[in-house]
Amino acid sequence: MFIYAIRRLLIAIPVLIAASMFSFLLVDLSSDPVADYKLQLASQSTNGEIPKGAVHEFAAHLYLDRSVPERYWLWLTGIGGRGDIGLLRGKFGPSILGDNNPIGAEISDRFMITFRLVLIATLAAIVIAIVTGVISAVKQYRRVDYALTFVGFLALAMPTFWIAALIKETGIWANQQAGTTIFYTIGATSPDTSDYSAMGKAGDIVGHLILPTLALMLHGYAAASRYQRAAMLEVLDSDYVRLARAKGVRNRTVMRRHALRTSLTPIATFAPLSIAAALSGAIIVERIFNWEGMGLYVLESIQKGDSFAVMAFLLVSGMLVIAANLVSDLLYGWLDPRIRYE
Amino acid sequence: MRRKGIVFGTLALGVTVALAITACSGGAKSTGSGFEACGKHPTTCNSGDRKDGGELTWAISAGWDSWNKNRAKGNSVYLAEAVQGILPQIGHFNPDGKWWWSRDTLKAKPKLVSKNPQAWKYELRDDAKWSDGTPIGVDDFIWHWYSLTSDKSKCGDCDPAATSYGDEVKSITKDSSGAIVVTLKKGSYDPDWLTKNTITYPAHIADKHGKGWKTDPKAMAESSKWFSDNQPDYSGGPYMIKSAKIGQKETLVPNPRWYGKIKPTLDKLNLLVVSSQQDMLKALDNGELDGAAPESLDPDVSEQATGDTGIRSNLAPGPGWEHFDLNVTNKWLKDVKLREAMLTAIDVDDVNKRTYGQLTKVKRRDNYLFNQKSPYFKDTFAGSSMGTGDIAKAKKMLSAAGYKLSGGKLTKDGKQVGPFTYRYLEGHAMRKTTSELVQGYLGKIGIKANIKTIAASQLGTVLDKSDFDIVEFGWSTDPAFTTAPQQFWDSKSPSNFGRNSDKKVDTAIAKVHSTVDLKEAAGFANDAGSLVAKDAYILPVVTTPVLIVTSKKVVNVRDNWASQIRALYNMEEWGIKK
Amino acid sequence: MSDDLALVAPTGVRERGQASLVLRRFAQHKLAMGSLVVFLLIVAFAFVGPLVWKYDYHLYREIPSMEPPSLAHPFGTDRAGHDVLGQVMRGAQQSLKVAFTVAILATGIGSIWGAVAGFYRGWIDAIMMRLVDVLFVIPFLAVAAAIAGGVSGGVGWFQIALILGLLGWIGTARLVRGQVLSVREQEFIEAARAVGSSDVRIILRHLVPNTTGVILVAATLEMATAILAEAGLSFVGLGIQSPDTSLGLLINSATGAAFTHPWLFYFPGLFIIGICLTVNFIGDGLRDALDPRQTVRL
Repeated sequence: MFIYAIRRLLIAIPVLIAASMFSFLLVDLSSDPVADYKLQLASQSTNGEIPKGAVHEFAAHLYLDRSVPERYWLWLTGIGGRGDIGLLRGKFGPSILGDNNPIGAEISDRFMITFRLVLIATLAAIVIAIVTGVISAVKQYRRVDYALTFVGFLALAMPTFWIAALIKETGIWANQQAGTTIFYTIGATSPDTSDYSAMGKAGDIVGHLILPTLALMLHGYAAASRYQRAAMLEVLDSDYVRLARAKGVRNRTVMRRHALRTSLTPIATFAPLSIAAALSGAIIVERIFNWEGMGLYVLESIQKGDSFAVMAFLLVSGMLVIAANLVSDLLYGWLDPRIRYE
Repeated sequence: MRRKGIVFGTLALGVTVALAITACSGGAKSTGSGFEACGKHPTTCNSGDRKDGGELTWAISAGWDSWNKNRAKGNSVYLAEAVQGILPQIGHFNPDGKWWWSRDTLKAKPKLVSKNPQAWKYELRDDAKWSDGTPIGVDDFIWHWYSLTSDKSKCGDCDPAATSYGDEVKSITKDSSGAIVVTLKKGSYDPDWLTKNTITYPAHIADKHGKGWKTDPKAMAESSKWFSDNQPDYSGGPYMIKSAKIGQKETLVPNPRWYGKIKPTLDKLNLLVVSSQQDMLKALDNGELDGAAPESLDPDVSEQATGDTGIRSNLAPGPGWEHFDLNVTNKWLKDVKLREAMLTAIDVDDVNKRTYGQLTKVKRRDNYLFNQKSPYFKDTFAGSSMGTGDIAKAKKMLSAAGYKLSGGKLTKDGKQVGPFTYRYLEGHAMRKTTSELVQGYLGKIGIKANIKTIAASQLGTVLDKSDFDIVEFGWSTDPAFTTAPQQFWDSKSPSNFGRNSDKKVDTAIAKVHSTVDLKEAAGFANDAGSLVAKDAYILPVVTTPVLIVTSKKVVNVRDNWASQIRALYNMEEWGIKK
Repeated sequence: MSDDLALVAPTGVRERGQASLVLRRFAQHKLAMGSLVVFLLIVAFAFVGPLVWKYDYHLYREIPSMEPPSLAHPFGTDRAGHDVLGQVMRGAQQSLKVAFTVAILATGIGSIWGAVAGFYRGWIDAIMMRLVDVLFVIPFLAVAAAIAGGVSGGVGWFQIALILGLLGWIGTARLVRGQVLSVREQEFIEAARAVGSSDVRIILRHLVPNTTGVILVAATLEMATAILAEAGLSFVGLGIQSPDTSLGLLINSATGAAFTHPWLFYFPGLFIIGICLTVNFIGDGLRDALDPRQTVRL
C-alpha cells in the first residue's frame, strides 16, 4: 500500500506540471497589469506625465518583459531570475502588490483560515449527511424521507451566494433577538484580538465561523446525504442483511452491526473528494463573509491580474485535491479488504 | 493631511477609489448629534461630548499595499487612510471647502513672503514632536521634498507618486527666527501652494535607514524604500499603529506624545477593509462595525441605510463627478459638429432623475472643476444646448452639418454613422441605468450605441488604449484645482483618455500656473473649461452624492467631501457618545 | 461540482433495454414526469414568453420605478425602469442557453473522450485520463473566473457556455469510460470486430449508444451545474454582462434589495431553483428508469 501511495504521488507530479502550464497560460493571457499600473500613474500624475522608466521598471520587476514560456520556466525553476522566483527553490515569484505582500507568506497565512472553514464545513456536512441519509433509507417512502430528500435537492438547486445571503440575514436577526452579537458576518476574527483571553479568542473564532460554515456545508451535505441514502438502501437490500434478519437477529443489531457499517464505506471515500469541492465553494463564501482566506485572495489576484499569486493558489489547491484523491483511494482499500493495490 | 498632487485626480471609476468623511476641526460649538445639521453646519454637525475609552471599527473600501504614500507604487486613497492617524499635517480642507491650517503643528498661518520667486514661511510649534520626542523640523520638510522629486541627484530611486511638488521647490531653509522657508524655483507659480502638505515621514528615522540621505541619493532611496516596507512604529499624529495586517486591517491606539489640542479618547480604533457595501451595512446592523463612508453610491445600500432607524446616515454631494467622454480619434467622432449634436441629444436632467435623483436631490453639474458651492463656480454650459436632450435641435445641427436621418439611421455621404461602443465599469448600478438611457437618446438621432461593460481587470487597458467611443466615468477632486486642467485636458496628458488635442486649450491651461493669485488662476481654469466645452468633448453629468453611515454610539464623525480621506480627517476627535 | 454530483449516482447504471421500456418506466415516475412538465413550461416561458409579453428586458422610460408586482407588471419593476417579468424571461432564456450549450459540449467531449479511452485502454487510456486529472486538479471556478475576466468587453452567454463546457466535461468522461470498460467485453462488440468494423465505427455506433443512459443522466447534472456556475460567476462580477442579463446576474444585483424590494430577488431566484430542481429530478427519474435493478424511487 505504501508503494502504491508513492507511485500515485509520482504520477501526480506530471499532472500538476501540466495543470500549472495550462493555467499559467490562461491566467497570463487574460490580464494586463502593466496597463492598470499605467492608469494608476496617469491618474496620480499632476504634471501630465508618467514618470520615465516607472512602467518599464514595474514590468521588469514582475518579469512581464519576458515571453510567456520564459515566464513559466522562470516560475518553475527560477533560473535567470533575481532569486525571488522559482517554485523549485520554494519561491512563488513577485506579487503585483509589491514586496510587502510576498505570495508565500500570504498563502501560508491564509491557508489555515480557509482550511479551517473547509474542513469543519465538510466534516459537519458528512456527519449530518450520514445521519439523515440513514434515516431516509430506513424510512424509505415515508414522510420524513420525502422531506429530507426535498431539502437535499433544494440545497443543490440554490446558488451558494443566495443561501449565504439568507443565512447571514437570519444570523443578524437572531443576534437582534438575543440583544447581543453571537454570530459575526465579517472576517475570520475580530480586527484586534491580541488583548483577549484564550477563551475570548476561541469564542471569537467560533462566533465568526458558524454562519460561513453553514453556508458552505449545504451543497456538500446535499450531495453526501443522497449518496448515503443510496448506499444504505443498497445494503438493506443485500442478501446478508436479509439473511441476518431471517435468522432472527434483532433489527437494531442488524442495523448497527451490519448495515450501517457497510454503508459507510462509500461515503468515507467520498469525504476527501468533497473537501476539494468545498474549496471552490469557499471562494464564494469567503467573499460574502469577508474572510481573509485563499479564496478571497485568488479573486482579488484575478482582478488585479496578479498571475503569480493566482498560480500559487492553483498549485496549493491542486495539491490538496491530489492528496484528497489519494486519501480517498487508500481509505477505500482499507475499508474494503477485497480491494488490492497492485 | 491631504497629500498634494495625488489627491486631485484620483480616478473614481467605481472600484478603484475610496473616499471618506468629514468633520470640524477645533472642537467648536456643537450643533447636535446626527447628520441633520450637516447641510447648514458642515463642520460641526454630529458633534458631542465623548466618554473616555471605547473601541470603534471603521470600514474602508479597499486595501493598501505598502506604507510609503510618497511612492507611486503604493500610493492610494486607502494608504492615505491607513496612515492618516500617524503622520503630522500642515492643514487640511474642512467640510465647508475651506483650508484650515493646523493649529496643532503650526504657530501661525503659513505666510507668502515673496512672490517671485514664490516663497512661503512656516513657523512650527515647539510642542510638535514625533512620538520618540524628536521635534518636527526642517529636515522633515527636506525629506518630504526629496521623496517627491524627479531630480536623481536628490533621490536615486524614490518612485515619486507625483513630482509637481518636489520639482517646483528650489530650496528649504531655516531662517534666523527658526522658521522654515520654502522657496520655489524662479518663474514657477503655484496658486494653491498654501494647501500643499510639506511634511510626511520622520527624517531622523530616515537617517537610521539611509545614513546621509541629505547628500547621498542612494541613501535617500534606501530610506524611502524602508518607509515603504516597514509598518510604522513612529507617529507624528494623534494615533500609533498597534497592529496591522497590510491590506486588510489596522488597529490604532492613542499616541501618548500627541501634541495636539484635542486628544483621542478611544482605547482602540480599528480600520477594516470591507469591499462590499452590502456586507458593510449588514455588519453595521450587526454591531461589528461602527461606520463607513463608501467611495461609490450603491442605491440599495443607500436606500436601506436611510430607512434603517438603528443607524445614522447622510447623503450629500461628494468629491467625485460623473461625465461622458467621447473618443475623438474615432473616424466619425472627430467631427465636432457630430459630437455636439450627440451631447445635445443626451438629457442630463433625465439621467439624473432616473439615477441619483431617486435617492436625493441632485442638480446637473455644469462646471468641470468647481461645484455649485465654490466661490469660483461659473456655469460653463450656459447658453449651450449640450446636455439638454433637445432632440429637434440635435437633428437640426446634424442636417446643417451634412448628415441625413432617414429610416431611423443617420448617414453621411451614404455611409452609416457609427455604431459606437459605449463603456462603463461593470457592476456600477447607476452607470448601468445611464448607459441604457444614453442608448435611447442616441437612438432618436439614428445612432446606434453598443454597450460593453469594462471588467475591473481590464480598466487600465481600456482607458490606456482608448478602447471606447463613449465612456462614462468619474473624477474625484478637492477644492485645490490648479493641476486638474492639465491632467484632464492637456493634449499630452496620459489621463486625457479621449485624446482631444486642442492647442487653444493647451495654451489656456498653461496660464493657470502663471499667477500666485487663486482667484485669477480660477478664472484661467474656467476659461480653459469653456474651450473644452466648445470642443464638445466632455460632458459633466452630476456631482456624485456619497453616503456616510455610522452607529448611533459615535460622535464627531462626519463626512468631508473636500478631503480624499473623507470622514477620517478629524479622527482624533472621534469618540463614543457620553 | 459536477464530480461530486456524478458520484451521487448510487449504482452503476446498466442500460440495456429498448427505449420504449425506459420511457414507460420514466412515465411512471411521477415526480420526474411532473418535473419534466414544469421544466418544459419554464423553457416555453423563456423562449416563447418574450414573443408574447409586451416588454422585453430593455429599459423603458414609461415604466415606473420600483413598482411592486401588479397587473401591468406581474413581477414588478426595478429602479431604473425595467419590467422584471421581461427581464426574468430573458434571464431564464440566457441561463437555459448556457445550460443547453454546456450540456451538449460537456457530454459531447466527455463521452467521446471517455469512450475512446475505455475502448483502447493501455497507454492511450493512461494518457487521456491523466489529461482528465489535469483539469480535475484545477479549481473550476477560479480558472473560469480568470478566463472570463480576461475577455475584452465582458463575456456574453456563448463565451460563458464555452468556458464552462470546455472545463466541465471531465465528470462525464470518467463515467462513460467506466461504462465502456464493461460494455466492450460483451459479445456484440466481439461480433462487430469480427465482421471487420473500424474502431471509429465501433465507438460511435456501438459503445457510445450503449452508454446513452449514463450520458443522459450526466447531461442533466451538467445543466444544473452550469446554471449555478454561471450564477457564481455573476456573483463575482464575471458572468454575463449587462445590458444583457441572466438569472444569476438578476439575483446578484438584487441581493441588496432582498428585503426591501423582495420581488427583484425572489422571482429570478425561484426560476433558478425551479430549473435546477426539475432538471435534477428528471435526471433522477432517468436514472431509475434506465436501471431496472434499481428499485429506489422518489
